[in-house]
Amino acid sequence: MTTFPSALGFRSSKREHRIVIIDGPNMSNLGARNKRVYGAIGSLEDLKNFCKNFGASLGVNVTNFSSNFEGAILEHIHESAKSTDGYIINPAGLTEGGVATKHALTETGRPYIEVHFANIVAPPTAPRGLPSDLGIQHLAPARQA
Amino acid sequence: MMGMREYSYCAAILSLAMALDDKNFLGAELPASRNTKVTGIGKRLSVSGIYHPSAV
Repeated sequence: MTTFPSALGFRSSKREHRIVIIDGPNMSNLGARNKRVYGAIGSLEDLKNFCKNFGASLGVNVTNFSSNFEGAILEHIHESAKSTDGYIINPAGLTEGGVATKHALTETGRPYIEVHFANIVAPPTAPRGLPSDLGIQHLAPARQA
Repeated sequence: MMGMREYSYCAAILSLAMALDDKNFLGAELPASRNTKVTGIGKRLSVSGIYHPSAV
């Protein structure tokens, strides 16, 4: 289990924000995915614990929800909206579609952030696991000039 | 945030927490200007219409 030292120094208030992390379809299969792309996290449960522990180090209350069904995700968003300060969502299998989920999140009036394990805009010839904008790629042409 | 595996989540949690703390951002009650419409939809929304916890 990954533990984190206190990171309260980053915070400018002591409020325990309530953040809900939603993992969409196929994330339950995380442990069986290509480890070159998705890394060493062994399961969705490991990921949830990782996030919970990181949130705790910041004094943030992180709760997780995951489902392979968009309807279940929608209902959770509707039910949790009044008791949540912000959402983080990995739409996973809903990335290309998931319009209803996007609408549900917007209608909560809460801020939400979209995250992805992989680089979903990487070209087919590049490894999806690598971030696209570390700046290294931009340095190469400059060196040649 | 993407492509950073589980660390993408860390970035999102940290930035969201800091933004909610920020009294001039998501945690803000900014003064209304002539360009800012007060929504008046309950006390949970700021003048910009964005939810902020300090207004609860």
